[in-house]
Amino acid sequence: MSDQPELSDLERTVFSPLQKTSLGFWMVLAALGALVLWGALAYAIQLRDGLGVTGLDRPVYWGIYLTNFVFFTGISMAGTLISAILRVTQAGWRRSITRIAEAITAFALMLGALQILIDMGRVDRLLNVLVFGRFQSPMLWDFTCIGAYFLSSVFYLYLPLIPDMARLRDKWTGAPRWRRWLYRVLALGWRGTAEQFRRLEKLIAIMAIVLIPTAALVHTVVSWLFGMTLEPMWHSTIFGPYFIVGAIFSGIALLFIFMTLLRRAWHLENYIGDKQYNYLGLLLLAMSAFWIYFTLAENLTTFYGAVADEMNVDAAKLLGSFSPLFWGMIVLNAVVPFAILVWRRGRTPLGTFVVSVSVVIGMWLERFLIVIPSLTRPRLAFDVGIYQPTMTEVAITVGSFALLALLYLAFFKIFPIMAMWEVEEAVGSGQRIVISDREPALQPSVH
Amino acid sequence: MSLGYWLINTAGIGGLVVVVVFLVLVVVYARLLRWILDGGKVEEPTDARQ
Repeated sequence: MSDQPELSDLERTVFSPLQKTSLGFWMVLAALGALVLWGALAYAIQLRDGLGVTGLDRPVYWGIYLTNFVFFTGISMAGTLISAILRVTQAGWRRSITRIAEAITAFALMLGALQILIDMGRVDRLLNVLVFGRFQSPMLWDFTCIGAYFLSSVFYLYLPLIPDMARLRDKWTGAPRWRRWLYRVLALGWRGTAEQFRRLEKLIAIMAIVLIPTAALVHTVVSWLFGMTLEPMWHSTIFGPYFIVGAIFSGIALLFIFMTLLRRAWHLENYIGDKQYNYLGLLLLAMSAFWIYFTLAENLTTFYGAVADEMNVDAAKLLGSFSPLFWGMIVLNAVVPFAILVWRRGRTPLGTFVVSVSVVIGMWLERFLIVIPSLTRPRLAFDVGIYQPTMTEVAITVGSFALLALLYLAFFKIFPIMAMWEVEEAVGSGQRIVISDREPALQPSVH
Repeated sequence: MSLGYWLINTAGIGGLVVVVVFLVLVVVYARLLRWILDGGKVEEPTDARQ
């Protein structure tokens, strides 16, 4: 269209997925939608018949919904880590992937909160958390921290979007009406003056610094849900940092998965390249090492102390009925990352993708192994409890993961995948966004 | 009964704190957005990035 403003290479790349929708996209959307529907139907049955349709029973009163809650809040760390920490340390290569990471935080937190609602059974009693809320309860600490973290993360996601909204408003003149309206509203009348940019960058920097301790607090408080009880192997001071490390670990893994799929589907190879895979791959490897350290520390301390109640649980994990899951987790979280990522040729899109899928599964197992074994062998005078998730729980879990992917995909069909102004800023300052064997689209100078 | 004990053990006080925290955050973030946008009223040459 001749009346369309001229677009740069970057703008064409970023606008393209917003403007064109392939058949493959609709097929993926339909598949995810079907899985979400399956989960929704299962939830409707649970709502009608009560939590009796789940495998939950005394003494195992938390099951895979709580596993999912810990897992989803954990992966929400991805956005904070990649965006906030790398922003504070002024790592220029982060610019093309920050929004991909920040969006994970917002949606993962939504899904995490949803798991609690699902686990409640009587969701109509949600307001009782506020009406009868006492700060004595770690659950209220969670409610406060996760709520504040969610609000702050959405704000942090929105800030760098403002100039991009204005650009879409001004440059995509042929956009459908609803999009024009949306971009105009979200641009908030942005004019792009130097003073506006100065204030925006200042606020983003402050938010980055605020979000790092907030995220650490959230994952600590989630761990305190367990740590403040006297269940065997839960009542431990190591849980706070252990949860933070696990959160960063799984968050980076999920970021790799989404980043790699979007890069391939939307042809972002010139903006997300070897540099991101190499550096983030090293970070994932380092987090694997930290995770091994904490896992060893947790189990060795328990084993050496040999307190009977704790040994019951630890033995069930290491040698008993949970041992296939435990050793499977070790392979997925420790062996696979080290086997692939220590080599430079392993830190490629394919190598990191394989490791990330392994880590995401392994970390979900880790959350399962934290929640369930302790409850099957409580200090109280119960026989060993048995927990077997039912098809209802499986359907709701699958539906939740599908909903995360669906929301994520839908978000990037509406909003630009990269903060264009930040990427351009890097080019202007001569920073290298991508180091690739292929010809980079951005003109890099050695930095 | 000490004030600290009353604060953390009285039903409803915790919920009130949560509501206040959320409201304060929403107001602060809204004002910060306004502050950024008010930067457009400052007389300066338009930045080349937009």
